[in-house]
Amino acid sequence: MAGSPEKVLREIVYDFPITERPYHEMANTIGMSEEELIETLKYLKKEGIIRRIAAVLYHRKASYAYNAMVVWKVEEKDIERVGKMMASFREVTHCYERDNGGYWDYTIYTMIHGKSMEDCMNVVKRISKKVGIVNFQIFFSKREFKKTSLTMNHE
Amino acid sequence: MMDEIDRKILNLIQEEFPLTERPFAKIGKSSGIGENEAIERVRKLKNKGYIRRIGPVLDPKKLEYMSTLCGVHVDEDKLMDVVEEINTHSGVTHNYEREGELNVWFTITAETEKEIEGFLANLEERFSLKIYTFPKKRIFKIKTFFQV
Repeated sequence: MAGSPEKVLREIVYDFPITERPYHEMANTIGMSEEELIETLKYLKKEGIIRRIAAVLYHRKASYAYNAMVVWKVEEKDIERVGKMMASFREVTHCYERDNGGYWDYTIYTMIHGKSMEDCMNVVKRISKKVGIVNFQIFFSKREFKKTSLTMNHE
Repeated sequence: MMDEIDRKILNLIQEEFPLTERPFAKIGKSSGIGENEAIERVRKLKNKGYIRRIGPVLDPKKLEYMSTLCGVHVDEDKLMDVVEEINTHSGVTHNYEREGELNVWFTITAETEKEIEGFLANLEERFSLKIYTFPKKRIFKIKTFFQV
């Protein structure tokens, strides 16, 4: 491969220019051909290091103003089944099993986005009913201090 | 305000931005407009704050990076100082104030576990905090697509 994947990850901008030939422009900046850059990015996608190349939106602007972190107490034997069921809800954007941090005994962590607080609450109720878990806590976000993407060009 | 074509474009490029020499020609074609209009519309959507950025979304796991969710209680009087310090780390991608006893929640990603531990230990000492970490064990869903 002509363009080194490592170099591409470290040197390209993570906020593409909105121009006719963005790859051409970026390739020039980091000193490779447009074709090399595109091929390298394709390779990184194929390897899964780049999950996707896409537009990342501001959810607030797109009117999903509320996000709630909901933590659920689910027993070990039920985690796989319940986790998958929770993940099937459209409003659930993230669903993980996490270590309890030695702080409490919640095992499944979901992020729920909604257009209002009430929307989020309704989703939580629906999930709770469907999976049969009544031991949970909801933490709405009050302020967003930082929301950014992981990059490798720590500028 | 967004119209139907804007929505179509947003839904399209949220999923995938074309990896071809003329990406906007392709976007235009899929949404029934020309290349120049596609560029203009995407620029406008970005300037108006609908689009944060267009670019690669990395998989920290594939990079063999370590990451964890952290929750900490911070008193109101030192909240902003702590937040500012947390945000200096480029691997901190999300940081929210939430309701509850643990009122600050952030995620941190770094090349090694040691780097994360060091960063957290330093925060704890400097601001007399107790930071709890909740590393993930299983991923059931990561979705970043929002129907608009």
